[in-house]
Amino acid sequence: MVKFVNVSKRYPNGVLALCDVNLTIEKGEFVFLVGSSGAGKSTLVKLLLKEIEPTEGEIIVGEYNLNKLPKREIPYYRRKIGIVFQDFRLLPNKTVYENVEFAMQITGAPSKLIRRQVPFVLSLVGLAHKAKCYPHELSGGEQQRVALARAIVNKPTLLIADEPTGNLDPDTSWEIMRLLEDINKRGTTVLVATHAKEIVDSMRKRVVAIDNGRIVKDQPKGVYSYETSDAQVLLQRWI
Amino acid sequence: MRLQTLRYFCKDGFKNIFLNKTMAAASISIVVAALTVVGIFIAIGLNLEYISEQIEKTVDIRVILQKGQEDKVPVIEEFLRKNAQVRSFDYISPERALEDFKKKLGKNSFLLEGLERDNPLRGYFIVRPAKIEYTKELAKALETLQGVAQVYFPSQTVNKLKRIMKILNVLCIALILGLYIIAIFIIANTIKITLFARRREISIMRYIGATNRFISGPFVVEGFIIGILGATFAYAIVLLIYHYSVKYLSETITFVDFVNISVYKYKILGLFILTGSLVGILGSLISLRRYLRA
Repeated sequence: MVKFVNVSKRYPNGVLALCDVNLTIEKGEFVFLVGSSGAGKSTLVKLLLKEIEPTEGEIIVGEYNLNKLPKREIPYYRRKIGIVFQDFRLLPNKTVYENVEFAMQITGAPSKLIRRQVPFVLSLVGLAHKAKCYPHELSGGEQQRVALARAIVNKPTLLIADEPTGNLDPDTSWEIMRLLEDINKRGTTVLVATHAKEIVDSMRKRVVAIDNGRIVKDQPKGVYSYETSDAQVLLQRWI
Repeated sequence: MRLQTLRYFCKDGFKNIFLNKTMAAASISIVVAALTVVGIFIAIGLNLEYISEQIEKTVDIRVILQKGQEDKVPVIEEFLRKNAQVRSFDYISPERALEDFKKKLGKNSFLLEGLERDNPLRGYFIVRPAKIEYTKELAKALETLQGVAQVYFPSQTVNKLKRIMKILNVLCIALILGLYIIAIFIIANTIKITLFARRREISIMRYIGATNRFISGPFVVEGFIIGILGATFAYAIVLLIYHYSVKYLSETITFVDFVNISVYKYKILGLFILTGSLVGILGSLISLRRYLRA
């Protein structure tokens, strides 16, 4: 589903954000991407969205080779993947319903389908009763659930969540993670970049740890910690 | 484009105007101001054209025949009828000339009594050229005809006057074009101010895969509505201004009559709506371009 081959990214100011990253994510996987701030998580997400170009290496998402994707095709590519941000990024002048509807409208979906699909995903995230509210009338958790609904309404094969719980309290964070897990169980590949240690530790999913632009750990059913306790990692970094 | 997409554009465009009332009001005022001035220039241009047309109509060539050469009249008539440079002509026979003279003298017409038998007046043609520029050429041609004694035509002053009118007309058109361009850029900048606040929205739309065309749709509708509203207001203002200024001017300057603007009513309204909406659309597209590039 997702394939990074020897990907490096050096920003114009000289910072090496990613260094020779190789990563493969299979279809239907649930992957946590962990690492401290500045480790390179956001760069990886931005590369996946083709917001930035890699300095070296190849990125493949589904049937798209991002290196060869022309600029005008980017919108069409982005429709195929769902994206959730830490700061929700809802359109402030649109209601909950309209925000989700918008993601379908841009694809030119027939209104019949929109009228069926939007209420469905809203009920999936438990917000059917808030359809007419505006984002500023919702709590953070509710806003993030709207963002999730918007991300999945076009049935993407890949869902990327960039610190989806960064602005939320622990209970609400759990709600969001459970939703992400549900979405994953419905067949969508999910990639979550996160800091939420407890959640990562207890969910026992594949964990990819990134530090200083390098992948330092890739563990199925893993845990967050990678710096002190994991001897293997330490060894890797020494060698 | 799908009908529902169009419907979304319209709905969102109206909503944006409503949410950014101040910006919309400012942009509409700019369209109104620009189109009002354009309208005034158009009115001036139309009147200049009208006046020069009237002057043109007064220009005629008098072809005086030699005495006793009335038998040449059919030949000259034939020549004039075939000449494309002639708009119309009249033949005034010596008898009619005398009649006219009598009429002119009124109660003193008895002075001319007895002249009927030995009419001293000569017959002449009044020739009106199709275009004022033809006058000289036509006069020259007429001079060579048989039976013609003299040809009178107005001096070059009329010609000069006309040239001045033409220059003024071109100046009017240039000013109008300049005004349109200025209006487009002022609107672009006005919309840009609010766009600055909306650029986050635009970036979100781009993240979820909206094409540039889709993002700009509502903005185009917005510019279109601004243009149409501005055009309608400007139209009303221009008509009012024209009505009152003509009323005032025709009382003071009695020797000129002005164009009845109602003849051009629909043409001006059409032009205003067309150019107004175009100005609005171009203004919003120019302002949007920067945010859609990256």
